[in-house]
Amino acid sequence: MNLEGIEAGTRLVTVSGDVVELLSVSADGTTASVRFVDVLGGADVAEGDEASLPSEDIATVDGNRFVGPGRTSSYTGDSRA
Amino acid sequence: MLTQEQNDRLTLVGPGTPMGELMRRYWQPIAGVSEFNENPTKAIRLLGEDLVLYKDESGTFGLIDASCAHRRVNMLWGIPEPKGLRCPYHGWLYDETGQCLEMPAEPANSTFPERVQLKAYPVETLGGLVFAYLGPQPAPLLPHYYPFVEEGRVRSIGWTVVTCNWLQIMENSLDPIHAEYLHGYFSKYALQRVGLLKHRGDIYGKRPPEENEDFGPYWRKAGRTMRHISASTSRFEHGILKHRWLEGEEQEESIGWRYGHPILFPNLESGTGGHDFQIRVPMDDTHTYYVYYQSHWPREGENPNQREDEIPVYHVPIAGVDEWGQPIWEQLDNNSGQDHFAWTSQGPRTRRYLEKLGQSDIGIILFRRMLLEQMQIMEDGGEPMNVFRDPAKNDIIWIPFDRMDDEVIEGKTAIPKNPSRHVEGMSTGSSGKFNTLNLEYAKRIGAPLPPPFPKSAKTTVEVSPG
Repeated sequence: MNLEGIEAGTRLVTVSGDVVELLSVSADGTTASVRFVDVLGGADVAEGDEASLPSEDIATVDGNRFVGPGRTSSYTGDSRA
Repeated sequence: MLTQEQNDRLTLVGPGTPMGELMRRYWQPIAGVSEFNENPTKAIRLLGEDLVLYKDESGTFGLIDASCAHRRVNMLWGIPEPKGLRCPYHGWLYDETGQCLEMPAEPANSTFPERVQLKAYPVETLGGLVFAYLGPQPAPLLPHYYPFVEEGRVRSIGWTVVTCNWLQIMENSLDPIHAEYLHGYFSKYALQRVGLLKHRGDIYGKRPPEENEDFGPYWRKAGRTMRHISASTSRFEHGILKHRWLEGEEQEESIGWRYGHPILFPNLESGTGGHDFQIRVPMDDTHTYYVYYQSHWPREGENPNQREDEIPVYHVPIAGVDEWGQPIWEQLDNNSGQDHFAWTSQGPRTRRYLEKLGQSDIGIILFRRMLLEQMQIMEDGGEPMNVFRDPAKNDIIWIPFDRMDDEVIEGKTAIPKNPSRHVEGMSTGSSGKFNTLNLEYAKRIGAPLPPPFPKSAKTTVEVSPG
């Protein structure tokens, strides 16, 4: 997901379903440094482990409402095909 | 991705498995009441257990072990008596608690019958369905969701057996985007294959679909092109709401985005407007008893005062392939056919440890999290969500989507009192193509009827590695 504007400390959900805490975002916005908080998915990590994840591996912000892509490519007409 | 162990935890439903125990905390539909007008017994496979549901001559339903305690003969061939079901082999008689009442060949003063009891589970009927509860006592209340109990509705019940695990069916309901492709672009492709459309259009809305004017009348029209700007899912007291923000809508005014489409935990999806239910009951790890529960306000010539044994039950056939292994397009011109092949072609129990989820799969991620959370609550001795024990709250349960604000919703989309989904007498989605009430209505008003359902040479799951 687009990590622009998301503050360190925010809990995020990966596409595996794991909950991570955002530590920092790379300058170009493509990579997130995270700490695993709740490992529900199959990632080979333990709670407390830190890792660097591509922004595309982050699905959404944790909370009561999970919001998906801001703009799907079919809507924007931005197909890579 | 999930590990193989996590996939097992989420999908295996037999006795003693975590998911099997969670599903046993909920009443599950197993048959239609009117099925017993003709046949007093029905074989039931539920959560990995083989059972027989019967209706005795007094009208009492019982759900007992499929095998007689004596010589293990299947009670499907049992004889209904004024009280209970009698084994056809040597006449042992059982009541709805599984208690043996008679052993005709044993001595008259034998106490043996008192000491023989079959496994049995409580059943109740509601809205024309028979429900069973396989969990620990005391059993919760059978939820009175409003489509089952609201007066004045005309009800019908479709059913099928889907040859795959229940979870891949439920995950489809948490996936709003599939409607844009499977029920949108692919659906138009299917209608192009049967000849109704000259061209299916494109997915970006740059080229609209073109009708084939030479084709003649068909039972359904091509649906609108739905394009998602975004999708989201949220928790609510009964489960999850699935939200859509579609092209042409202002985000803040979008009903689909603000209110959402309810999925009732753990295995029930509300249809558009909340007045139709699709219920996915795990029979075992690779088969799902599927109920299409439909209710609508009466159309001309329909009776809204059906007794439970008058609510029609119809079978929905499953899509497959022909003798050359090719898709049969006449089976795929409707939502249920499209869903069936999508679910079953993932394999009998799909290998989630090989899949790749993206950001648009947030509903699936949330649902898996909720299932794992609720399993943990149960394992810690608590009560999972959406279990009802207060009769005052079970008089009639309204689902918020379509009752929040009828006036607002009325102008925007189909609502319960608006039968607009039934185009020319036929529901264009779901199992409406096979619904006997829809077919009778279509005949009365002279609307085109669906073509006969071609027979499959193989099921979809037989040609899919998963």
